[in-house]
Amino acid sequence: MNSSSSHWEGDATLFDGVSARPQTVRLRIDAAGIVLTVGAQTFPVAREKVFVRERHRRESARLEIPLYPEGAILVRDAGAIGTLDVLGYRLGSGRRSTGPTVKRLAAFFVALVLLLVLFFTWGVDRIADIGVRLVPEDVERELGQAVYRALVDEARVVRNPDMNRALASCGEVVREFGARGAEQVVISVVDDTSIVNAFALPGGRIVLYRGILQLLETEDELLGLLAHELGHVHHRHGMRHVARKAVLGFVFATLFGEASGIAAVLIDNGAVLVELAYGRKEEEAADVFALQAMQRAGLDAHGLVSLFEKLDGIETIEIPEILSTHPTTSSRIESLRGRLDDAPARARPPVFSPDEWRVLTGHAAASSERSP
Amino acid sequence: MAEAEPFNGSSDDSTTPPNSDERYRAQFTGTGNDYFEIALINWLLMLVTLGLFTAWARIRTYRFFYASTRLGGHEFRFTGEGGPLFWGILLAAVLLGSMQLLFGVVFEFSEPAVAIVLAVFYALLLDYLGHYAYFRSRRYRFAHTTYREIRFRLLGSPSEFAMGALVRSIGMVLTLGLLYPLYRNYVYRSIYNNLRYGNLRFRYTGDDDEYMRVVIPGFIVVLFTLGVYYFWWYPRVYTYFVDHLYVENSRLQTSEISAGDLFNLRVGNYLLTVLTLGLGAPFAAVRSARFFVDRLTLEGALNLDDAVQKQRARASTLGEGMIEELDMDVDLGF
Repeated sequence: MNSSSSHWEGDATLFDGVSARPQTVRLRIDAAGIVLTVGAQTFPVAREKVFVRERHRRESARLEIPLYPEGAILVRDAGAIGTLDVLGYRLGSGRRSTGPTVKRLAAFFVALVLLLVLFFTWGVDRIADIGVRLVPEDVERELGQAVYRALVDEARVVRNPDMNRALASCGEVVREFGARGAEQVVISVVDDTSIVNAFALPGGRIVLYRGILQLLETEDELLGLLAHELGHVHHRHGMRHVARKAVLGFVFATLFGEASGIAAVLIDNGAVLVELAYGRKEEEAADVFALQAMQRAGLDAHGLVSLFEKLDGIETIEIPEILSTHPTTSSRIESLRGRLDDAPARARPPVFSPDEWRVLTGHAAASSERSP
Repeated sequence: MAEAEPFNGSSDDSTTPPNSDERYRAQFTGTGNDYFEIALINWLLMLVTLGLFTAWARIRTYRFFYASTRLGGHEFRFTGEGGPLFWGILLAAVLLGSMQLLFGVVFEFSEPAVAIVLAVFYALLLDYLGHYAYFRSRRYRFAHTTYREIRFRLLGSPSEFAMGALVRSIGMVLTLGLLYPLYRNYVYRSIYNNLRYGNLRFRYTGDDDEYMRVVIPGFIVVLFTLGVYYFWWYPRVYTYFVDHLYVENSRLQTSEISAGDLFNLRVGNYLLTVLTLGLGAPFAAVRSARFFVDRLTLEGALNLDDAVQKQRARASTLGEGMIEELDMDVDLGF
């Protein structure tokens, strides 16, 4: 063996990749490349054609050369590895690298972060929209039904012929609103005056609490409220929320390699998945729908504004967090007012009989005046 | 000159013929420190990449264990790459995730009677898929294993294997586990009778009746002794498997494993892992590998120099990915 830092020469083991038989060969490593002596024949190999793969410890190196495409030369000598290092034959140089470099890892990490940001700001909604379109309507109804059972105390739902008649009158107008799925809408009133709220569930179930009904003074306010909730039904906002959650869950499960968890999460939390707090954009979309729907039905859309003003005034009333679906901010009222400038006046006789109005709101009769 | 035909040097003294008593010895040369370093880096990179490093972590682990295992002085080598495995895991996650989602939704909206049928069908499907993935993952691993630059190959059909395993799984459930040895033997046979090292064939010759007699009575004693007899029972079961494994006509053998040795290994590893809050797990893994590998010899007239390279077998990473996603990285027989 003859070695200095600039070259190394000694024995090595050649596996030719054809048979398992090891062959002892003479190997010389220098700056120009390697020279392999097999039996009586000598093969110089230029340095750029030599691929070095080191073992997990610095005891042996593995060289791959084009001459033996499926074979390798094994050098078990610290001096040889030292020479390879000094001359810049680096670990992993060659056809394939043996592991990620810091640079590649950093690039990967940055790409991952960008991907996640893009996904959360843009991708989730797009995928959720596609998902919503794929969900059959009866599945959506079933889901809404499940949420309804979870959220609403069935015993407190008002069921009597008078209320049914009043709600039927509501239903007639609601069908004129021209929402997608309006024929499926079922309206329920919950006898709880402490809750000032109303919400729409996937599949077209609308739930009104007594607390909000007794605040109402005009038909237009009540029908505005229904039109707004129907806007959520029309745009399938509830289903979108479920789809969003499902997409997020799916991606997280994929990321963390826990496919088995997805189904469980979705099934166990089916009801919880339907978050009732809609985002600003969704509220606005429902408002816009409500405005147009009311005009279509010959109602005065100002009822919507006075409804929100009433709700704005009672914001301090304690509402369970999950049920506070209407962030009645003044900016929303402003934007509604802006759209109302050229809204026509009411062109429709009263919808409810005095009896029906009393059953619904508890008040004597609907005021025909616009609220200020 | 470099373009010249490769010259195959004459057989020389570096060849490793069987010793005078005709045996190749196996040896595990890795150390706990080496593996600890690999595992630590794996763990850190998994953290930084939110788990996306899984594929590369697996490859690094395989490389370490293969490169640390020697037979007759030569090490094994794992040649798989992280990139393809990454896509395999991703594909498996999407496929299995969609399947579970679909089943979850359908299950939720079906009548109770239908749901029960669905649940049973789903359990059978998972059993089938698990075994299917197992076979494919072994095919992937063997296709990327070399020894003296000659590749291993796993022939046979994953779906055929999975169907056979499914039938035996059902049998096992119906007999409360009594038929477990038959299942186990089936797995051994399916893997090893299809395994090749270059042109050399592996064979598993275990007999069902015999294996039953080795496994079942002893296991009942294990139950009645609240596990204590395990340290006498397991060496016999393991030894039966190894002793019936052949490469051509040379037989794999393991030197004796005493109950005391096994007790030291298992209890030692348990303490090593628990007392260090898991940090010692890499050391425990290396202890186990050394314990079993260092006892192995290949005995017989076979000269491994005679192995000849065969065509590369096609093996995708999907099975390995499914194994990862199904979280069932258990060794059914190796």
